[in-house]
Amino acid sequence: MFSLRLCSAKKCNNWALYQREVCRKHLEDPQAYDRELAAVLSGSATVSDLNLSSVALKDLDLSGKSIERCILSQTDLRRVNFADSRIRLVFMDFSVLENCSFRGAKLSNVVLAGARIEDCDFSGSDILHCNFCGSQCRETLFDGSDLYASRFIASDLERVGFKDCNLKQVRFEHARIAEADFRYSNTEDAFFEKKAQQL
Amino acid sequence: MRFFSYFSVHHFSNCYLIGPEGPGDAVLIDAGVFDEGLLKIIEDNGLYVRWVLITHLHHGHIQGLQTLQKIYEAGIHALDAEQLEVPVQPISEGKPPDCGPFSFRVLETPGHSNDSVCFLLDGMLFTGDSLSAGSVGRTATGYQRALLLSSIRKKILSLKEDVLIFPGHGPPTRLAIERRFNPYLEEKL
Repeated sequence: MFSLRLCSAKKCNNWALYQREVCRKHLEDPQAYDRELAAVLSGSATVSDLNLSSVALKDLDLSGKSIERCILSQTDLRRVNFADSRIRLVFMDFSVLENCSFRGAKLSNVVLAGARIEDCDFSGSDILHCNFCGSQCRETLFDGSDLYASRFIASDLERVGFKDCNLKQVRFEHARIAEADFRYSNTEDAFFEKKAQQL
Repeated sequence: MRFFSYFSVHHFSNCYLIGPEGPGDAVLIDAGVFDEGLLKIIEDNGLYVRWVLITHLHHGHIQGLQTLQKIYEAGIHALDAEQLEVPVQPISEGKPPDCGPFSFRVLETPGHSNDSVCFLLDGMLFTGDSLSAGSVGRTATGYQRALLLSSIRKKILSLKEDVLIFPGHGPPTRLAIERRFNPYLEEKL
């Protein structure tokens, strides 16, 4: 389950971090925590039920791992390799992702809403039922991916590749789309109109 | 507590299963489908569906009830107890469902349908069709639309920002995301 406990600092309403009683704001040495966490993540094949919100991870190889039911909101992820990983029910909202690879990964029910995603590679992935609403994607590739039932409502997409993707039930209403490549994708099965495609 | 989400391609609807850490009695939120996939999750984890909570009585959220009742003796809880052919225990904001160790709060959110409710449990909100990622429920009239938006504003947007939202359709989201990016919540009443 989402292991959410409140930070023990007085009057703090943030969630406590994994193996800590406090949130990131109240850590004595956040950088040391990030290093410790990187070692823990690298050494485990499966990562589940953790709250890692606001951590900063860079140059980390998490390829092939299984990540489930975790909170990674407001994280700062740079050059993190998630290739061929399985990521399920993970909140990465309002995070920064730069130069991260998700090639061949299987994502479902992943929340990347409000995230800033730059120079990332999601090519050849299953991205099912994922939430990218309000995200800012730049120079990012989704080519050859199955994006079934994912949502990009009110997102900002610039120089993003959606070539040869399955876009069935994918929603782009209210999105700003500039220089995106939708060649060979079934755009007729996606929703682009601003008019509500409601339940 | 353990948590599972299950997606049905029949109505593109979600249902959610909440159980104890080990084997034991579980809660199912909505039953739009009850098929082998869902049964496997329940059985493989040693769970028994003891309680079913219905967010509203539209087909895509109750179609699996009959099959479920052939397998489990589950108490079914919904706002409108009269509309279903099976015995239903009525719930309301003042009368939350008794689900053993799981203490749900009921939020009545009419608009998409008259009987729409949301269920709140430990920072997780199950919104049915009232609110989903970047969208709101379909309504047939301007009055229903106004009622839905008013319900969302009064009952849901007043909750804490970090509440996780698990809707009846579409991916999960969080209240902070909907406040900031859901274009339909900007509509004036």
